[in-house]
Amino acid sequence: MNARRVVSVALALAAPVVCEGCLPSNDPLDLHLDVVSIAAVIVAGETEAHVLAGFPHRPLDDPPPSVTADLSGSGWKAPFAPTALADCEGGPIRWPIPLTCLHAVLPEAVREGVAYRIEGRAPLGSFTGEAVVPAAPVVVEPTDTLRLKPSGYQLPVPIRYRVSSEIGTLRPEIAEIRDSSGDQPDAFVIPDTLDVEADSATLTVDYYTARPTRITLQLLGIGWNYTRFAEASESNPFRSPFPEFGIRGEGVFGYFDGAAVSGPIHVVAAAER
Amino acid sequence: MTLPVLAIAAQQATAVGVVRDSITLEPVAFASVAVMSSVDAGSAEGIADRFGAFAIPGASAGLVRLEANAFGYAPWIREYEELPNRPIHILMRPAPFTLDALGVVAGGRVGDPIAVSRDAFVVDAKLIRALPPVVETDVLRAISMSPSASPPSDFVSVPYVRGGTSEGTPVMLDGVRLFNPFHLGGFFSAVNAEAVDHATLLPSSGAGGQHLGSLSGAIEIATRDGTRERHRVTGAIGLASTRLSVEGPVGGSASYMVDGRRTYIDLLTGGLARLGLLSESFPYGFHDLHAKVTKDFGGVRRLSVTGYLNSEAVSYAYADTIDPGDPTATQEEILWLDWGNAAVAVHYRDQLAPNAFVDVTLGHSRFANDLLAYSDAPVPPGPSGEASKSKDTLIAGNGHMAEDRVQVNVTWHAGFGTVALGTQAVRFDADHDYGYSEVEVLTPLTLQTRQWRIGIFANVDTKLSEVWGTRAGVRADRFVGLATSLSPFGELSYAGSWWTARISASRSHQSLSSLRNEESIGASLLAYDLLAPVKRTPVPRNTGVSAGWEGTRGALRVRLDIYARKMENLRIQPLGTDPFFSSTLDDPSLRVPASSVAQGAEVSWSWAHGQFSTLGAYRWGRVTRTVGQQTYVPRFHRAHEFEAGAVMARGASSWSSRLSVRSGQPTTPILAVVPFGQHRASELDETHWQHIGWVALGGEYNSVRLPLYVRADLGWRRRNEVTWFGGGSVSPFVSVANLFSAPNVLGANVELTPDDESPGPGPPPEHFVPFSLDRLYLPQIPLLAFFGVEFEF
Repeated sequence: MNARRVVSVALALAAPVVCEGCLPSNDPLDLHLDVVSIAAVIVAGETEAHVLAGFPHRPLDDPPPSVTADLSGSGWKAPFAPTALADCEGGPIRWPIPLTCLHAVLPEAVREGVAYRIEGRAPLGSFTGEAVVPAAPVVVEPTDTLRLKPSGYQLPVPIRYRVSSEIGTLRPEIAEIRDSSGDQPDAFVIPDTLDVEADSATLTVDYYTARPTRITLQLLGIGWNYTRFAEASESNPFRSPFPEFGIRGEGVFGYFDGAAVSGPIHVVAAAER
Repeated sequence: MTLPVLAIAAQQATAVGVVRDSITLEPVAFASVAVMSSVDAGSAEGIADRFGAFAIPGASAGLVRLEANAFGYAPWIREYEELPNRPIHILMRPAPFTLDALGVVAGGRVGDPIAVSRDAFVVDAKLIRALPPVVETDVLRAISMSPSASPPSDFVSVPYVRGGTSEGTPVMLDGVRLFNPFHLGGFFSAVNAEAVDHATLLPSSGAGGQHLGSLSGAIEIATRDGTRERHRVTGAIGLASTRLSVEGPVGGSASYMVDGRRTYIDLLTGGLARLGLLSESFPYGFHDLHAKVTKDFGGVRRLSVTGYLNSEAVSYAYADTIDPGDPTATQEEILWLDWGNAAVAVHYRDQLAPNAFVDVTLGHSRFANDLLAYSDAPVPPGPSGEASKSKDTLIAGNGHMAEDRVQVNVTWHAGFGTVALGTQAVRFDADHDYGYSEVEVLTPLTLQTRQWRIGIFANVDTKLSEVWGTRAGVRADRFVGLATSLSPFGELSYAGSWWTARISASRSHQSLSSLRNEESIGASLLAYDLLAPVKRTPVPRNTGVSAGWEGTRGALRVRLDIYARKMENLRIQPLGTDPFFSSTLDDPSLRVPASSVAQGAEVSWSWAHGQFSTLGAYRWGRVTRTVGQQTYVPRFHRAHEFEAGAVMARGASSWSSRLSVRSGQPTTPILAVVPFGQHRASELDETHWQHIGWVALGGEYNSVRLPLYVRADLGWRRRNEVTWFGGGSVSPFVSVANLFSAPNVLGANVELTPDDESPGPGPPPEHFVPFSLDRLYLPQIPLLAFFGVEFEF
């Protein structure tokens, strides 16, 4: 074989390797920079609503997405306008991505059992969503103020409850805590999520004061749009076809749902430890 | 009319004999033998089987000329006044020349991979050595040159065949099934190159694969008998292991061959760790041993016994006394993973009649493992003041699977064609008990099962006319306690002057299913499989059709094949929520009936010119699996695969290259990665940070492709004749895998990576979650260099 043939063969063998750079990239992890994330939960009884929108695929120092949206209730439509990010309490506000919080003042309080609709526009297109606010969880017990003795810094609170099938996530919250001196000690309650299939649980309130303390707990029931989205975080990736998250649109992913809060659970923790 | 026919028949004879290498006296498989009459110019021809035996009925009586041709041998020609009525011994002289694909300047070849069989792909020991080795010279990596073969990754050398399932394509060694015949997770095969005569990839279970009874073809490895010339020692010293083979005559009519391999990965990494060049050693070891004894009783009668043993282990023990005064304050870690297989095959051949052979094969094969990994860590004294220990068991269990096989084949070379009849009884036995497992490779499972399979089969290969031919047969199987199945096949062929064409259809059944989840990422890294018979009907079934064309013009040979297959009643685990990171081997009770469809077109070619030769293949294919209501492309599948190997010999040196260009494997696209935080979660909640997550929203399962796969391997070797030990050769070799360091990947996903910055209190957005999202690409092999030396004395 002469040198010319050798060179020809070598070129033929090398061509596909060289050409690799000529081919368009088909990286399945190439994420569209203009995709927008939406997190929105409206709560029964409240007269305002928030939407947290972000560019999940962009770096933190990029400007946040320009998103317009309206919330529609029975016979009214309320526009969202940008507000301080801290107003979007809870949700993924601590993610290092460009975020914007949108705020809407509603003409009436959000009502249980009513369907609400969100419509808007994001950089890649319009989006819509619908959510029905569930009936509030019902605290069956205690019906009156509980007086309990703490164990260390922990206060076990037995409760019984009832939730409707519209609720997918049930979370205990500390609505208020104040010790005998009027201070608000740091506190949290565990477990952070209760079983919607069950009807009883024992909550544990962790609080950091030795003084007698008055605590008001409540149960937050959130619908299935939010719950399904939360469950999706357990798969990597969560594959389409997606279940209903309450939001649909070109380049818009996230959830829109309703929530309702139970009546208060009053607890008084004695000083003795 | 009857009398002339009888008269002609009386004037015809059957040429029976064995073709052997004139030096080693080993059989020469697939030699073509022709008997030509010097009286009436009539001729008859046949092909020697894998034991070199041939029977050619219809040869003319009287003066005849017998001619034998085999790849890598000088033609053998003799004239006889009358065909002898005893077996003819044809001793062929090796003739070093390059004639066909990946020609190596050496004699004694089996043949061009695409020329030996109508639909199979056959590689011989010389071709296996001709390709650039990856770690070691490897029969399974060589057979992946076939367009029908699709290795799932660079790390697994066992290929999928035409979209089939892994359990449907068994690896056979001298007639017995080998379970998991590889080392290092499947990186290379555990059958020594020195022992291999040839390996055949059967893409379907009809025609040449009927006797196996597998679902979708097989990889049949035939070992050498061992030379009867003199005692020889061959072997190789490589980066990962040393192989040694000893062979020679036993008396005048028998031969033996013993070959083995032992790794020194453990010793090497241990030494490097002691020198501080590695952070820690890799306590992994393997060895394999193969032995074969062959007795030639004269003529076609022969007896061979093959034994095989393969063992692997990862063993590690660590103990450290933290407090000498407290016996419980000892930290221990035990890692004992031990597995291996063993097989024995006995084959006897005799001549039933002048034109009929009988083959009896007995085989036993067994794979067993014993897995234990746990740690004992001291726990600080509790309220009672007593120290205690926490046990953390990663995996604990053991198991085995075994197969016993007896098979009788009768091959009758009649005037109208070749008739093959056979019967087979196979007992499969599985006993797996893995009570505890927290490793992703294996889920806890307990399985104890046994099944008998009894089959009978028959096929006829006959010429319908000068140009038309047909092969047809049927196999009946009784899966005891389960079902009875009927598996027919048929093939019609046409032979032109320089080309042939054929169409065929076949059906096959198999009751064994795999515990392997081919959608898990582990299946691309580990080839190990555990098998279990299905417990309920219907039995897995494969139905396939194919059409082929093959032509030879000068030194160029081209084969085209198109195929379609449907596999039904498979047992496959539903995809679940996270197949990518699911267990590789899991409980068979999770499996549900499934089906699979595959179509494809294959082109393979070989060409040689002077000292340059090349072998190549291209395959386009489509494969889908349907499990329940979900249809998807399996993760191993690539739509396009191009393979090319080239060898250029310059004197005693030879350069070889292998190029693989393949479309990317399927993967699930990521549409968006959306942060998620619990609504109104309290930042005082100590578990708050755990509940901040993210949702990776993907598209349809495996609906997009990973980037193009390109890999070029280069090899060099030089054969040096030496006078040591009475004469022999020493051949150093160097190879580079992935020469251009192409960034090939076998999987892609996104993952959460902890940032260095810890979260702190304070209002957003001054403090962010301590994670960032990263793209995760699982790489194939990078640029790697290997070297070693092979020797022969």
